[in-house]
Amino acid sequence: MARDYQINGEVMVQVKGKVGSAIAALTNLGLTDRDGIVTITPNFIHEGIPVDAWGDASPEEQFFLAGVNVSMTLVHFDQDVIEECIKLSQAGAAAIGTLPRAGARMGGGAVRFAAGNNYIGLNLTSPVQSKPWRFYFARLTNPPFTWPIGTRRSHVSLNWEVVPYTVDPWNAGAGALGTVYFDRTLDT
Amino acid sequence: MRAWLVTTFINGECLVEVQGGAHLSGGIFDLSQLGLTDREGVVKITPTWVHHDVKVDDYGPNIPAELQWQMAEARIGMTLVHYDRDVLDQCIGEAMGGGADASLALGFQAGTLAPAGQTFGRFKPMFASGNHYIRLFLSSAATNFPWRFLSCVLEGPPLEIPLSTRRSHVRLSWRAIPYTTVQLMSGGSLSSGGLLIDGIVFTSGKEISSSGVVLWDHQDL
Repeated sequence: MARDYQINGEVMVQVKGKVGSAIAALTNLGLTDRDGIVTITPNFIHEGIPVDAWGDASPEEQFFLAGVNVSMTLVHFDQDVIEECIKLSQAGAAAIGTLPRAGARMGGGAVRFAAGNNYIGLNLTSPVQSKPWRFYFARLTNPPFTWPIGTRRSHVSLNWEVVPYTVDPWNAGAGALGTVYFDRTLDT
Repeated sequence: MRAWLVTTFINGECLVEVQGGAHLSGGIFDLSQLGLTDREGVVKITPTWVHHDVKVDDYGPNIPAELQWQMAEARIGMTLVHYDRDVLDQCIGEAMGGGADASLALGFQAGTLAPAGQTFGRFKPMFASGNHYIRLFLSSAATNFPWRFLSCVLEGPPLEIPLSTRRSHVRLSWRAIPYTTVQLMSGGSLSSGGLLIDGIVFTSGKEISSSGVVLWDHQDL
């Protein structure tokens, strides 16, 4: 560990989806513009344990897992890859602009990248600092994207939500213990 | 003086498991995972004590001079969000008087009624074919303080199974009773009609004894 200026370098946003999808292999989604750099915002969920003797303050808190929001504005991107991400984020819609059944599950009880699992592996490269980010189970959230259309170049803004998906929440009695929702190794 | 541990108690994740009679071989005769609760519908255990007043005139009409213990039962409420429908179906079948019973050649499934008046245990030991009580296990992976209710049936109501495009939260209530089998009696003396105890002749030499019946314990599975 050493204190220094931290410069990630150019970020290539890469995605990988379930088998049978158009992004079954690790695929380049795009590059960000200068102003819309990738922003990672973890969301920790804490819940207080109220005790009457402590009034409205909680003398203790419990940690109830976490998620992450990732936002980005792409200027040099693959339109087909974005459309595949949009379809997967709608629980595996058959075609762009087409809805699945209401209530369709995102993970579908399937493991990562298996058929039926619509979550996307979101990868952010780090060629300079060698500290990439890999989010295991991501989907486009609300608003999923803004897509300006005009005579000038399009800056597409994407908002991703990363969830700690798992097939079996029981996890042999361990619950969420040990569940990985991001790490610093890219998919292959 | 013993140092008691006073702390905020957190059970941790609670997996609900069930085990039934041998007639459910291939099903919940083997210890089976029923499901996990949602956040709001956590498992709630509600014992019910039955105390009868012993009143004497000198105490007036309202306050007893003594109490008699008249047994207990317990109710266990839960709302499951991640559960096995087949396991639940077998529990429902048992609660409707009995699931498939090889000894009676009756193959009742959930939704099919057993004959009115059929008893649940039939004085058979737990897990015997034809005993329709279910043993209920509430795990405690984090604190190692599990609950085991030895003889339970699903109540209805409340038994609510919502069907919609959103995830189903199944609301269940179990009733645990102190079921026991007929036991051989000890003591007394043999008479021409049976076993003589306290002036009463028990022709079979057996009886149901409430003393020591376990309603629940905290043993591991």
